[in-house]
Amino acid sequence: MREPTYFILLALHAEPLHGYGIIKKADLLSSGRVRLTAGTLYGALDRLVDDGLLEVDREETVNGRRRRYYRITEYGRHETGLEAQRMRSVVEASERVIGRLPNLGSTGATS
Amino acid sequence: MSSYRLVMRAFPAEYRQEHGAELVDTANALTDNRWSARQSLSLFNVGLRTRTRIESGDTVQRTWIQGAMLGLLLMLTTHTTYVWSYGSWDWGGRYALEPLLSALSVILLIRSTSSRSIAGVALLQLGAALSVGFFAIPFLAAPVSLLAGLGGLSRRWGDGRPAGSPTMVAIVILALSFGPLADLGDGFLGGFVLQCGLLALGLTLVRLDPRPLIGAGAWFALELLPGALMAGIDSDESMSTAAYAAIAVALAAFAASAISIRHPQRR
Repeated sequence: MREPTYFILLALHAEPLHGYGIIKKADLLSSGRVRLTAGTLYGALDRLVDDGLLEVDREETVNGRRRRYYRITEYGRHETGLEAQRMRSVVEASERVIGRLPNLGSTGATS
Repeated sequence: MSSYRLVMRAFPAEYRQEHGAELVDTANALTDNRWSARQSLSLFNVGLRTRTRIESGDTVQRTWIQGAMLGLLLMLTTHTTYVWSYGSWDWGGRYALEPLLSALSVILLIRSTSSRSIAGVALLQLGAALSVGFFAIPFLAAPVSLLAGLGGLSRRWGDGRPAGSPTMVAIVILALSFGPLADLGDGFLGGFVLQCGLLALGLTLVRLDPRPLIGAGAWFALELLPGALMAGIDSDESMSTAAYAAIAVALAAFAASAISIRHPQRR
């Protein structure tokens, strides 16, 4: 799962949002790292709906403009959880390696 | 026509009608009504992808139609590149533009490996090969064209599956090198065109079944049949070889409608 996709799913975990809302939330959650363009977002939304990870929640008309709200499906939540788990294992593996390096000297000194 | 209207033309009409206004509104809100080049390019790219996207609800037949289109596009772009590069056509100012064209061909080649749209792959393939063709080294144009097409198509066809692009590229290269059709086709162009058709055929087969071995097996089975049919046909003319490739793709499309091949379920 690519990072923008992950943050789109994450943005929708709490509540359904429309396109602009998703972009802003993804920006916020990623601390500004994931800055989606409208093209990237709608391309991803179509794909995610198609894959069953998201679905259209409702449509609203504001000032004559139609807004479509998206929500995450149970399958989407499951997949996001799996991805989070995968990333956690990557972090743990990295910490084991990186964390061991400084300890090598101290282990040698104490034994 | 304002720039965003032009960019939105990349999307299919139905899509524009359904989502166009919302998409433009979102883009406007993000950019304070001043679209950047990045924004426009991204939308244009997504528009092309939308035109050629394979959806999970698509039937096996529709996937095959797309595969046949890929083969046709590969053949057409390869033909165009080849004829253009070897033709007597010349342009006096090309040497002055060599650094620019060199950079362009490299960019297009790299870009082609990340494109997932059929039209995108074909355009990038053509662009990269034509850029190389400008250098008066036409013998490189066709391989570059194939490289760009192969990179782009394998990327598109291998998307989201464990089989992945490298496996498919390996299958395609092995089958083209050692398969029963490897020696068919008269001359470089003829064999090349045939290989393009088979490339699309193979990638589509592997796409239809996510298990690479089964995909490869099915492909070989389909390859044997036209191979046996063609064995007795004189293939002196490159055009007849192109026709063979078309027959192979058509035959495969027909077989796909008869054989029940599992379509990847993404849920």
